[in-house]
Amino acid sequence: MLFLKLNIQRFAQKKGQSSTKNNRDSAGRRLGAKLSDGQLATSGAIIYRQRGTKIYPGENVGLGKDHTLFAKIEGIVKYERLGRDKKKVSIYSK
Amino acid sequence: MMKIKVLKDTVIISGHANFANYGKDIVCASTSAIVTTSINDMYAVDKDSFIYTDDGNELIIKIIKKDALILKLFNNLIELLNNLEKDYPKNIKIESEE
Repeated sequence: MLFLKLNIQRFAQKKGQSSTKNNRDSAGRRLGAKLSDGQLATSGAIIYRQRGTKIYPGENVGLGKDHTLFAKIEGIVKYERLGRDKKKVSIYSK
Repeated sequence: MMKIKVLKDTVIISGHANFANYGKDIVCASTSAIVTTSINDMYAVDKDSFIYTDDGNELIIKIIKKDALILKLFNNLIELLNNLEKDYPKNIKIESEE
């Protein structure tokens, strides 16, 4: 007969007490495409939110200081290749 | 941080390992298993050879009869705790006083 029952939590924090000091995270930044290929964009409309230039500005597209891509004119959105391994987005008027 | 004080014939264990949350703390589980096994072993050999108290904060084991086998079990307990301290120095602190 066991003299002392095994309680493997004997030297643990009390239940519910968190010992890790992490458990923090920032809210998602909702990056990515705001207008997809073939969509109509009004002038000034945001096309793509990004960190750095995952996608480059093409025809009639401007690059904001936070690398946001926006339409300079009203037209149709067109995602295209740029060189071997890059992408760009352009606006072509209707 | 779990604090372990080792005297010649006594070991005093207090505090929490704080390695992870309740139920996932492997350092706490190992310490609990080592201590429980040692106590049960010593009890099986000679239940009058040691005193064991646990008030929920401090767990104390004190050898009162210097039996060779009991001392082997006691030293094995200390060795295992030292071993654990080497692997998890942020969670276990052993102070030895001769």
